[in-house]
Amino acid sequence: MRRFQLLLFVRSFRWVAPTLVLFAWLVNLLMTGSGFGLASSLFPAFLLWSLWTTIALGNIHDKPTRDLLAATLGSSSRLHESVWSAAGLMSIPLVVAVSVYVAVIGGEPKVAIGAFLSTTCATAIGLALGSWLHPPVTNNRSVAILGSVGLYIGVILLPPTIDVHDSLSAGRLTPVVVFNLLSCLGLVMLTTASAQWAKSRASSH
Amino acid sequence: MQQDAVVGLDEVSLSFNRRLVLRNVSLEILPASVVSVRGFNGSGKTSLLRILCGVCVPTTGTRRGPNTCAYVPAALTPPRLRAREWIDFMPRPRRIDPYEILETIGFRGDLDAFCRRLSFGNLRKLILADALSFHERLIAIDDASAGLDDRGLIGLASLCEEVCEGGAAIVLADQDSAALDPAQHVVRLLDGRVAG
Repeated sequence: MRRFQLLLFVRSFRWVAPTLVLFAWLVNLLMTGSGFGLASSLFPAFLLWSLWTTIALGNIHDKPTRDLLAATLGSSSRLHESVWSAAGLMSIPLVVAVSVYVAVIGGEPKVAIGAFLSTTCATAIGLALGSWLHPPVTNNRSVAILGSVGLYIGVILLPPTIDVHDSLSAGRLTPVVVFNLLSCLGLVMLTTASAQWAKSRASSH
Repeated sequence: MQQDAVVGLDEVSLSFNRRLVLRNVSLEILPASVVSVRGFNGSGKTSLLRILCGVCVPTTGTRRGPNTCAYVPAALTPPRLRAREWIDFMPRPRRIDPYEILETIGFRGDLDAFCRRLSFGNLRKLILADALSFHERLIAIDDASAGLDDRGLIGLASLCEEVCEGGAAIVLADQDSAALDPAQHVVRLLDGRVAG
C-alpha cells in the first residue's frame, strides 16, 4: 500500500512545493554554513518538509477512495499508518544524502552524526505532528494549515529544542541523542494515537 | 451470528451529528450468497455497507467479521493513475484475473489512459473488476448498477454467481428501482431500519 500511496503522491505533484522550499533552504545552508552549526540549522528545514509532505500525502484521497483503501487494509487506522510511514520512507534518502554531504564538506564523522541526528529528529517530529493534521483526523483544511504553522513555530521556539540545538552547535552530541530518542518515542505514541483517532473520525463522517 | 456467517451485525446503530442513520440493525451475511440492500436515498445503505466492511465503527452494537474486504464506493474522484496501474499497483491477492472481468463486463476504455480520461461507466467497471477479482470473503458494492450499461449489468450478475461459487459473499446496495437483481436475499432499509 505504501508503494501505491507513493505513486499517487508522486503523480499528484503535491511534493513539488515542499521539496522546492527544502532544496532552496538546503542550498542556502550548505553554501554558507559548515560544521556543527550547519548540522543544527538543518532541523527547521527538515521539520517543515516532513510536516508538509505528511499533510499533503494524507490529503491525496477523497473520502470514498479512503473507504475503499481502508477496507482493503482492514481499517481506517491502518490506512492512516500507511500514510505517515510512506512519508517516512520518502524522507529516508533525503536524510541520508544530506548527512553524507555534510560529512563530505565537514570532513569530520561527528558532524555527520550530528546532522543525521538533527534531521532524523526533525523528520520524526514532522511525521508525528503531520499525522494529526490530515483527513480523517483533521477534515478542515484551514484548521490543518493554521495548526501546522502554529505547531511548527511552537516546536522551533520550544526551550528544549533551542537548548538542544545550542548544544549541538557547540559540538555536544549527547543532548541531541536524547532528543532524538524522545522524538522517536513521540513518533510512535502520537502516530498510534492518531491512527486510533482516525478510526473513530472515519465513523463520524 | 451463525458460526459460518461471513459477517454479522448485532443491534447496530449509527449516528452522525446527533442524527440516527441506522437503528438496531441485525444482519447475517452467509458465505456464497448475494445480498441486496435496497432503499431510497438517505435510507442508510452506504452507512450499512461501510459498517459491514469495517470502515466505519457503529455507535452501538457489534460487528463480527473479517478485517479486510473489497469495497466499491458509489463514486470516487478518478485517481491520478493509468487504468492499468490502478489494477497492477493495488496490493491484493487475486481470485480471478481482473482483465478477464473487464472483458466480461464490457470495459471499453483505454487501459493505458489516465483514470480521469475514462467515462464514469468505464471507471466504475475498472473499480468493480478490481474488487471482484479480490480474494476476499466479503465484497460490498455500493450503488451497484450505477453507470453500468446492459452488458455491464449482465456481466456483473454472472460474475456475482461465479464469485459466490468460490465461497465469497457479495453485498450489493442499490436503489429500490434498480435494474440489477442477482440477489438471493433482499434487505430493505427504510429510515435506517430494516423494513423487510
